[in-house]
Amino acid sequence: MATLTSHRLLPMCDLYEEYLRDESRLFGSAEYIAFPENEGEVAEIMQYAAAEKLPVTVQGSRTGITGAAVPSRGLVLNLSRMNRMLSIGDTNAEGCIATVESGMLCAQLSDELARRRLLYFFAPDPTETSASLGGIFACNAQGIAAMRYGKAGGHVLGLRMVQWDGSILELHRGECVFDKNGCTLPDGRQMVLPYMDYARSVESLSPAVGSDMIDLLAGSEGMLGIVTQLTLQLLPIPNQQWGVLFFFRTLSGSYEFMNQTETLEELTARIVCMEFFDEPSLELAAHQKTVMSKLKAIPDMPEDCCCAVYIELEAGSEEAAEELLMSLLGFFEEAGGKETDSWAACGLQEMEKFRLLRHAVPEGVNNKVDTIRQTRPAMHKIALDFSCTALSPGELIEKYRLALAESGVDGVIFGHAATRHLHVNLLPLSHEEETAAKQLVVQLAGEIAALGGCLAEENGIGKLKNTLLSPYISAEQRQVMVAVRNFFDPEKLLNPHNMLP
Amino acid sequence: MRIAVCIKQVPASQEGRMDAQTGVLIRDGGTCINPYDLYALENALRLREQLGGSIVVFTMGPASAVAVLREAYALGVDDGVLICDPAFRGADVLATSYTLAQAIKTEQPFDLIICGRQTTDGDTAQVGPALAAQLDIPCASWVEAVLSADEVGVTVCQSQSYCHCNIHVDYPCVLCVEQESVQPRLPSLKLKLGSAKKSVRTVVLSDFDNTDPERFGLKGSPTRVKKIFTPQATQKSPILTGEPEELAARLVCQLSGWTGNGKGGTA
Repeated sequence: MATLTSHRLLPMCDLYEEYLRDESRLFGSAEYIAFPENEGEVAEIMQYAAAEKLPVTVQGSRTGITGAAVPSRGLVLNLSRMNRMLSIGDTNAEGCIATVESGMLCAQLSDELARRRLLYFFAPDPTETSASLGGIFACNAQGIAAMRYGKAGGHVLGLRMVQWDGSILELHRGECVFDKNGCTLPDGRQMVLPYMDYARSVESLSPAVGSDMIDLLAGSEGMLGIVTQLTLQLLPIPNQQWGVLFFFRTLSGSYEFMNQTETLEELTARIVCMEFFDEPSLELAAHQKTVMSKLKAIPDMPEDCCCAVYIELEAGSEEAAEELLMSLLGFFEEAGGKETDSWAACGLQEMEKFRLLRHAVPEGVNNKVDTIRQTRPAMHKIALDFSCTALSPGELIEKYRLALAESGVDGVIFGHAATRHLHVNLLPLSHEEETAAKQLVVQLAGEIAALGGCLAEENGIGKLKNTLLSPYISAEQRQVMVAVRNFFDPEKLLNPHNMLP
Repeated sequence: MRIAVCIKQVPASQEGRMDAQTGVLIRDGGTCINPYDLYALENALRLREQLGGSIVVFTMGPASAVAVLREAYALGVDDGVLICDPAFRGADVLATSYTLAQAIKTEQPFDLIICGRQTTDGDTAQVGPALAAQLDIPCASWVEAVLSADEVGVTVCQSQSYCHCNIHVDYPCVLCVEQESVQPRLPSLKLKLGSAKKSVRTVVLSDFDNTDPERFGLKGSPTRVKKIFTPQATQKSPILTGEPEELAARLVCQLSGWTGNGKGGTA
């Protein structure tokens, strides 16, 4: 049996209760918790866990909302103390390269870059700046500018991962690419999957011919190993960055504006984000101003507005940015927008206010869920993470609005309108409404799946959505997912109950 | 009504760094408009919306300080003046207020001059009152609210240490406004786009009535800064432990300035 330095594993007690939950508000249980400070300690712990057949749930900063970091039993492996910058400054054709420990937070990375005066950024940086980079990779999150930069995994050049038995796997992008027979790892192991050509309703654990092993590990929710280091591709900060928040007095005006915006050609300036906020989202954000001091600098929103659209754009020159902004202003005025109902910011420093406001919406939902939990402790966050490119932004928003109205459950609709990846967060106030909310999620999942949409975009699947997604995963895809999991974790010790019920 | 607003470009970071030789702030990082000045601008904009007129913004600094004038344009002010000359560099409160007064005289008359309470780099809160002295006009500091304004003067609520005073000040006068006075607006897209195209007038030493270099910049500044540092927090936060009734009694004692009998932990 493997031995373990006793201080590595701490018996679970009240002191560590917060580590039994994440932002999903799902609570779990565990017997032990460990806070390793380096990869060697992670390996040592995993050797012990493998020998003892101890389930391990890996955590970053627990900002996920699907319960992926919530333990069901065994050991919690929290990586928050592994937050060092290991190297930075090397450059390639794309920009700058940074190698970080996976517990480093997005905010820490931004601070490090600012401190070193390096004019680069991690493009999939979400508005949740307290998210860990390992956590972002684990659920393959996407930042506010996903329509431009895609998901986090695409910005990872390499990684080191402690496997279930404590051995280390080091990967570099391009080194392990799937072909029709599977993939060969650097240590010579051959991953052979039952299918390589199959219908994929989710991306997780489901490689395709031509995909990189790093892309398979991205979004694997800690089920394939403990990622300890990530080598990130950082991109140069664009010459011009603008953020503009447009307020509308009618929903139809916002739909018209978004449709018009999508007709713009991409020239040297391009829109990198288009976010929609419905009226309840704006009310929630306005309420958050009273509890979040960072939002103090944001004035009251224009009276009588019922929704807003937030756009960010990047350009190579002031002239190009101005041309695009003038087009947007024209669309806004055509859609009935008033001059004073737009707020504009130029440069990241000024845009930070808007990103904070954007982030205030999910934060407000979390606070509401906490309030509801005071009377119904079993309540957890109920949120949609679907996308559906078959519909226009307006059609998708109307679909969700109608569904919410029919269910009688309060909710907010906000998020990535450009990629049709709108977040619908439900706020059931009673047990009956909670049942109706869950039914609504199932109903909408069916409708979105029927339209060819994706049911798990960026929040992961975790423990809250695995049963929801189950009916939409084909038998072939399930076999592939299980085969991938079994290849990396034959004892099924890592993050049990995530993704595969 | 004609309103002047004095604004300043300050380091975006709160970490003050000083040239050890000259005692002058090093300004090589990111910059922004002095946060207090946003309240001065907002008060001016509201008064113009109410009474009509125009707003002229003044800033003193290097050529790059034009950025804060553009920010003010994006909020809707009418004109901007950059007070920029190598002779103005290194000015303390006295030289700064004198320079501002000289610049304002080139654009006068003004009914009202509005300043933010202080800057986040100098932190003196003295430039506004000193400017009023240089111009020999009244000054109302610590203005928490502009209550009303008419053709002859303005009524404001002043926050004093232990009370609030509503006072009426005749024009021309200087107001130094507090952060609580109003909620500053954000620029609209149209104004923000237009701000880059608006012209800025630059004034230099030779534009002033008094061009004596001994009155400006480091030469005109009797203040010498020896050191800038962040004060160490010396106050400990006591953590009291015990039964509620006992804790309440000890808390009352501690709040009354009595340190108690030594029981209970401190950290």
